[in-house]
Amino acid sequence: MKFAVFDHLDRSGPDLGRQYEDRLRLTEIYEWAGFHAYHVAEHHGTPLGSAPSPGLFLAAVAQRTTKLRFGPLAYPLGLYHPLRLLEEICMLDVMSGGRLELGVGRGASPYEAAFFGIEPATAQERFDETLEIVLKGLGAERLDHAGKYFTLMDVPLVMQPVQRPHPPLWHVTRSLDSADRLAGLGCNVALAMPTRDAGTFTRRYRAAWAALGRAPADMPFVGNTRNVVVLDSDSDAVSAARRAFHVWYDSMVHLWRANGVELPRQVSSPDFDETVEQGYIVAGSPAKVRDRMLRDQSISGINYSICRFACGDLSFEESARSVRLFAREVMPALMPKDDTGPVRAATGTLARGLRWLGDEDLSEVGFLFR
Amino acid sequence: MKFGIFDHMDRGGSDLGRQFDERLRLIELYEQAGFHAYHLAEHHATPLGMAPSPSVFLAAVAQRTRTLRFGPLVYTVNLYHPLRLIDEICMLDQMSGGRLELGIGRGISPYEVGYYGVDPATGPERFAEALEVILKGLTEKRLSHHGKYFAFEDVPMEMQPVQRPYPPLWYGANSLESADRLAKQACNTVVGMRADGVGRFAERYRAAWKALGHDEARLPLIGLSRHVVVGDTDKEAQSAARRAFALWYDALIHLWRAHGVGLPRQLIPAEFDDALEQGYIIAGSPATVRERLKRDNDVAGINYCICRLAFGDLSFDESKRSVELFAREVMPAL
Repeated sequence: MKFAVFDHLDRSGPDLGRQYEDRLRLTEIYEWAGFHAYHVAEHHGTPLGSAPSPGLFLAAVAQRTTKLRFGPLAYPLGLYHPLRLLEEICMLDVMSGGRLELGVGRGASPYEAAFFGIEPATAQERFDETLEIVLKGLGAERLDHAGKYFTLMDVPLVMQPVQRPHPPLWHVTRSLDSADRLAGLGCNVALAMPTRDAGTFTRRYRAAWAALGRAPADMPFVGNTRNVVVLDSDSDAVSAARRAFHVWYDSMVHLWRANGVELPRQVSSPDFDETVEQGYIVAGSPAKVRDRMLRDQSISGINYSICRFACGDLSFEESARSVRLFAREVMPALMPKDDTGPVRAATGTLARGLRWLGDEDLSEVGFLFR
Repeated sequence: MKFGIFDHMDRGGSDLGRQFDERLRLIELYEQAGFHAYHLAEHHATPLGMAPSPSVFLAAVAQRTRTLRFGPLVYTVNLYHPLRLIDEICMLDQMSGGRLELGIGRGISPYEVGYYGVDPATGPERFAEALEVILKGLTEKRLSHHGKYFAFEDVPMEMQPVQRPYPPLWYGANSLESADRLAKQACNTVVGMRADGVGRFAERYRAAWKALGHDEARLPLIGLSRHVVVGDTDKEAQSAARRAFALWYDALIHLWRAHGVGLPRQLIPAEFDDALEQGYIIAGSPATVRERLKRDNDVAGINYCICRLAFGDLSFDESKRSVELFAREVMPAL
């Protein structure tokens, strides 16, 4: 079992410079506390994401830490020129001595893609083509590609990543049906699901993994994302979590609302108590969080526990306290006695004939992409 | 007179991780030595520029320094989506408490922009439109624009830079005629000419500035960039400079040579001795460097003295020694 942090870098207040500095101080604490990796989201034109170029924030993280792994979760590939992405990936991996975890995605918001002039209906194709170019380019010396969106002719690639053939690949999914395909790709997965669904997903992923004849020891990371607030008492923690949840939720639905659409309830419920019930939020004293996470962990069958300690208007002090209590009083109890989980992320691959995205990925918000 | 640093981040050897690390250590020394700003180039697919996303490296620079200003010189604007560039400018300015110096250009290498699929012929027009979008985006809450290359309809600008209306603009100038336009835009300028040419440029810029009714005390920075190596003796400094210059020059012409052509404007001589003679490189003991810089700065009429103290295969220790000697024995006299 490894522990990691996910961060939307959603706007916490008017002073963005201070927020950046507070978050960087937190990454130092994550490292101290023994977290494996720090994953940051990319969003545009919304208070949900104040790291619209996550590579820049991650370059700062690389300076503030020495062991902590980090990466975007995920780069919306369609919003990048593939050469820019190749260059940025190499720079980050080299500047950190090979600590990059490479999350790739189609981009979850058609509104954000539209800001960039990307027709949402082309998002999937663009993703496929860009990923193909990026994986072909990483580690290569020259790059040729003739596709629908990009033509690259004999481009010299003067930089290579430290991690070969490429940094570990990650994907975010809310779709149960993507388990088989992602297992085929050997891709690490960050789920955003209720605990029970995560359990169904991991069973399917493991079954698909076994059916492919792959060793359990080579399992990629499969993690589920939780908002975690640990304070000295249940009431302190729950009231801070409730307060911050509403700020975060407003950011989450900001662009959808602005376009007159509510997010489907199964994507994100506006109700704090319902969200706690589903397991998306775990808040309380160390004992309460420990019990709940232990229970959820056995249901979800994950080998990677992804926590969000900073969101909404949680102050630096609240988040820092949360992390310290978590590290000292929760984390040790969540480590299985005979831990057989992976110690590092799987590399993942884009093998020929395999598809990264499936139609089921569009099941919830797909109507907006068509 | 202010002092700045320009860095191509050309490849110094096989270990790029070490190069980044040593460069960051050197940048800490630039700050201690009292340099005003660190300017980083953007190049693609060539050993001339190992920081093809200068923002990524500059985000690290912001963490390693507290007062040193920094920026791209220049962002090749045509190789970015304007929204991405607005995001990066805001992030860097916010992550540094307002220390960004914003260099912009269209990208002068047809090979590099070609790799990105941008037709060099559209460069100036595309650049003008992108710049308009970027400045609008940095100053307005919502962005609308309908042009030839870009269309935006009411895009929310969630982030603003610390420096309002936007960080200081920088431009690289190669022609005397551009002085009038740059003065009008109150744009800081690095002039890519020899000292005598820069002298004519600076004179014209100042005249244009005055004609616009601006206060001379508020003149933007006009800079001249030179390779500088300071050692204990002329011999030692010049031999290191000669060695490093050859490697840097190879990187400079790499893509042009690969395409079987020479540099379009053969400004910088390929021969070290000619480059030294003409002042593109200043290398020597503190006294030698001091005298030459003093003379050339007077001729050039600049108010910003830009040095390249790390280039080619100069070792960290060689560059460090240059910085120390420059700060102690050259800077005060200038």
